[in-house]
Amino acid sequence: MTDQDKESRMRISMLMDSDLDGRDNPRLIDTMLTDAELKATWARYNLMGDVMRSAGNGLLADMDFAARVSLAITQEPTVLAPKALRPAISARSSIVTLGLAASLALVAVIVGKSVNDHSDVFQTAANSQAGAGQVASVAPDQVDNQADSQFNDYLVMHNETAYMAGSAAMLPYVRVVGSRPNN
Amino acid sequence: MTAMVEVIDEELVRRVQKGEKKAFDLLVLKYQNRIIQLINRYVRDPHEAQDIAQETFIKAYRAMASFRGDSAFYTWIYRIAINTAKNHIAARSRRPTDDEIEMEVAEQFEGENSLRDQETPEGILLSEELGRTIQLALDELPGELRTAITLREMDGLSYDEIAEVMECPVGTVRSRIFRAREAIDKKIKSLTG
Repeated sequence: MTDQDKESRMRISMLMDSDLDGRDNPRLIDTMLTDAELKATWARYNLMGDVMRSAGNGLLADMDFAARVSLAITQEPTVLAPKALRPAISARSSIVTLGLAASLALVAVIVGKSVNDHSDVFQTAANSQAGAGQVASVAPDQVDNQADSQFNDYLVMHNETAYMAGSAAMLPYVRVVGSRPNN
Repeated sequence: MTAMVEVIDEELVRRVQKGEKKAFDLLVLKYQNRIIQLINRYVRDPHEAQDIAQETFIKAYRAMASFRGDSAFYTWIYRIAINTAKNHIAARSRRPTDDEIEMEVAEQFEGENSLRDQETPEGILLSEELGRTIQLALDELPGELRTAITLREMDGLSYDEIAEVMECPVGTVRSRIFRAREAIDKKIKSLTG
């Protein structure tokens, strides 16, 4: 047995006991898969532990067992790696994410538009109140009603859009605000 | 006892899932005896236990794509083995005529020679001899080597824990376990061919 063989066998012993540095595992496994003697060493080392644990009374695999299974496996179709399934899952989740993002963008546009509209109303209301002493024909209640009406329209629209966007958690708040009686 | 992560299993499973069939061989070599012993506790028939174990490994290979590593590989394959054994027992109990025939034939044998012994394949007899040889080799080991390998294999202690028990450096434990395995290996190599 060469020093290299001895070194490899010691590393197999360590590998069995999870004592080998993880970075060395792949290389040693590659060696075991190509070197029949090292593969047999792996089998015998495992056999020792099995015999010891069963106190020599346990049933052992017959000598051809692993070879029979190996032959049967070669006739099986190669298994699909789970990683192959992951892109499909992530593609699906990407579509959902994009959908949500698009919905949120739509809500943002509507909110932005609505705020602009309201700023006109508030500006009008402010101007009206500022000149209330001069123009008695514009009643403050009328301005408030107009603003409330537009704000409620916005809330209803938001309610519908937010539901489509999946942000249902906001709905109770929207309903409360939308249905709050005028003070 | 410290639960040691079976890093080797994870690596082998990863390889099989990538399509490297040969990596499955190392998993079979590692678990074949444990699976057979487990199944034999259910079916109480060495010959049938070998067949069911073979079926277990093939089932495991086919299901490997669905194995996500949520549990350890050995837990997963033990579950497959138990289910396969139970299915065989259920199928066997649905064949009462077979059992009756077997009983009648068995009754024809007298003394210590049972039907099972007569039908035991050569491989199983060799396995029994292997078991005896390993046990003898273990008995012949120097005390410190036998203690180290026993603490590792039978009690499942880690190298650090063995070092603590035996009051020696971890490197010494590593060396003692390797030397013990090599000594036993010399005795069984000729038997395993």
